[in-house]
Amino acid sequence: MTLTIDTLVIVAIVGVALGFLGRRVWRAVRATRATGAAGCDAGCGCEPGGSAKARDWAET
Amino acid sequence: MSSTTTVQRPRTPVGEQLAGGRSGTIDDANAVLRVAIIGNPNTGKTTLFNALTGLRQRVGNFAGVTVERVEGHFRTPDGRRVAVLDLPGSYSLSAGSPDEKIALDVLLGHDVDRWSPQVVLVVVDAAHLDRNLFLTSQVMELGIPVVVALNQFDVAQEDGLVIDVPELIHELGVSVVPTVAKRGEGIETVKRALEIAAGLPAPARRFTLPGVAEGILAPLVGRLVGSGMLPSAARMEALRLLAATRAEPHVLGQTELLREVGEAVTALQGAGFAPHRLESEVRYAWISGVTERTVTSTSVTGSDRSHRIDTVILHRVWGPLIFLALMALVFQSVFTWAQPFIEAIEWGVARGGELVAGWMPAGDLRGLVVDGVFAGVGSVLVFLPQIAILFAFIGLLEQSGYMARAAFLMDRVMRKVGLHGKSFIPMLSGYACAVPGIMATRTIEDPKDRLATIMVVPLMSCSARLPVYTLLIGSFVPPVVYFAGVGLQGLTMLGMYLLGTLAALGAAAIFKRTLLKGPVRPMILELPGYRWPSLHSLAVSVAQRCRLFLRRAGTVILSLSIVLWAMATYPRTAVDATLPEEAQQEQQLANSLLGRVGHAIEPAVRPLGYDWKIGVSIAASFAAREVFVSTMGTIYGVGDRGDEAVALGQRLRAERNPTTGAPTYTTLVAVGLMVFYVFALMCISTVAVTVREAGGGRVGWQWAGLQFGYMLALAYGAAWIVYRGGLALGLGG
Repeated sequence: MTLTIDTLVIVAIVGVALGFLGRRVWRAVRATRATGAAGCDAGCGCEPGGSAKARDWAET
Repeated sequence: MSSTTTVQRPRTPVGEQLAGGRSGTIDDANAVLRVAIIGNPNTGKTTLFNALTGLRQRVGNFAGVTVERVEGHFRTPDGRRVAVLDLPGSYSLSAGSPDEKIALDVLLGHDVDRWSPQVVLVVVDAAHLDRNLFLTSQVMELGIPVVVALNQFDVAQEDGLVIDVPELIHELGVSVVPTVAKRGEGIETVKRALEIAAGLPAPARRFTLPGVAEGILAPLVGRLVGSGMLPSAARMEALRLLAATRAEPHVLGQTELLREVGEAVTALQGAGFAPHRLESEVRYAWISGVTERTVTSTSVTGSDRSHRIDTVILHRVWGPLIFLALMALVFQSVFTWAQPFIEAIEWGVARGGELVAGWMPAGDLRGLVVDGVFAGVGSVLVFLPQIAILFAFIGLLEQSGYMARAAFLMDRVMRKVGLHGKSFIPMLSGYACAVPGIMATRTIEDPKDRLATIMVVPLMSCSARLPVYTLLIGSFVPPVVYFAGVGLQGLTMLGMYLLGTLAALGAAAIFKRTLLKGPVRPMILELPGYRWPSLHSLAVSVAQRCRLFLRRAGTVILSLSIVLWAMATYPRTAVDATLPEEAQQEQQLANSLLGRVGHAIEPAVRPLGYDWKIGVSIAASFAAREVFVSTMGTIYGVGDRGDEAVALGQRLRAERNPTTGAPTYTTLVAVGLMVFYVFALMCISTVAVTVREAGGGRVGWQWAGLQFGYMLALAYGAAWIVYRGGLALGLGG
């Protein structure tokens, strides 16, 4: 039983990790099409404003 | 520079000093006020933007730090939202380079996706008012209310300049606020001035054109008004278009407009004017009068001091030597100063691993946490102090004004390889990360120069290579000290950075003589005055870099460590029980999914002296170069021993070839591996940003493919030469 739970937890963790990496690859590919956008979502600091980026211009 | 200098305030309240003496506020209390920040390069726009919005955009004491528009907002004391747009620096409202076009599009309302700004905040370098007023005078004709921030006011005072602010307000007809943005002085006044300016009429042209010239330009102005421009903006644009040396993107294809411009040029020439100089002549004549009436100079101490320093720093012989000595000191410090902090992190990771191992029952889940997460992520985390030290040095050099001098020193070399001197700033940015480096090429006007720079920026050793270099140098290069604390380890690191830089210059020379052939243009570089770096700004910049590094460790590297651990653990296969435990583990690892992939890769990397473990670590590091270290950490499963980096280094040194019994990792292999990483483009993010910045679509992918291919060929070839050459010279031991 312990083995089964361990296995399930491992499968879940590895699945989440794979999903995250897949999402990163997808976003990197998508970024190649956004010619006006900035940053690469790589966490390297190139994204303008980061999480604090305001959207006031789009809202008004 | 005196820390007690205070900003000179206007003698009467802001709002009573505005054009026409009117004051007012925006009508709708809930409306968002849209403000665009513009100014010459390196006037402190982003510092002011950060002070206004509380954001932490990157700042530096050289031109071209901001290459795209950045948005933020703040609230006024009564709760109104103000949206602020930080635009790239520009000397005039021309659109020669992609970053200047961004500013022009926003200010002229060509940016159809967005609303136009309601107020423009022009940031002016108080110490160089004459040069900065050219752009200011253009912006004042756009038909939009303007506020001028007289920034770096303290520097102007230290330079012995006395600026009569009320007189300047009178001359310009707009609100002028003295500021020292890096210390937050004058920011509240700027906020108030912006709010008031929104309700005021836009300023008007402050000089007059000769009547004949005005008459000749009238049809052109009429056409621009007909296309939707405000009359005042149309007058500014008509004058500006006369000086454009080549058709700008937003007027390309407008044949009627271009014809009218041509006719105006001919008519002006016929009337005895020099059309291309007309705008600069009338504006600078006005500026000269303004500065005569508003600025008095009591001494030249500041510029004198910078000039004296520059006679040494920019000396033909001493300049490059000082540059190299500084770099050697930086790289040696990365090793020496970081050591106590590295040991502390190693201790923390080791204790954490032991604690978790003791708490969790034996099994695969514990293996995942200890061998995957702690061994993988922990082996990368230990490099955090080195990242912090490197960026503290880079920040010091940037803020002091030295980086602009480095660009100047490199200009001669850049011209020899056929690149524009402006290319050096993106290449310098590439030392931190190739992605912002490639984006910084937007300051380069010529498309071929820009593309050539994009193609070579990833050869500059970025911070992601640092863990790889440090692991290998720390493990295989003896810590011999030669002089003044500089030793073999620091020099080896410097060698890797120089190798990347020289390769970038060589590759650029080839591109500029083949696929991207074009003339070499001279560089006009503004050398900023030397400034004492702001400790706060430096701390913010280093903290931001550390946060980004930790974010990568906690996301990409963590995820990959988990996946690689699973690949290194499964499928479980039967092993020879008669073998010693270590050999059994090795057999299990070789039969795992990762082992099978590694053995499939091995024939390709074997000529370089690498085994399958290095091969699979290189392949995994395409996600991020640091993953090479975490993959090695996971493969060797040293998490339960603690002391990750040292243990990994020791393990690498102790590793033997099972067939020959010879050491698998030698100094020669380590150097070859570092050389491979100097040249290889192992970074998916860089590929993505190259595709986008090279034009996107099929063309973008073609350039990115060429970049990846040539760098991989260079990496493989150089690593092969190092390894085989070393063996031939008997250096294989």
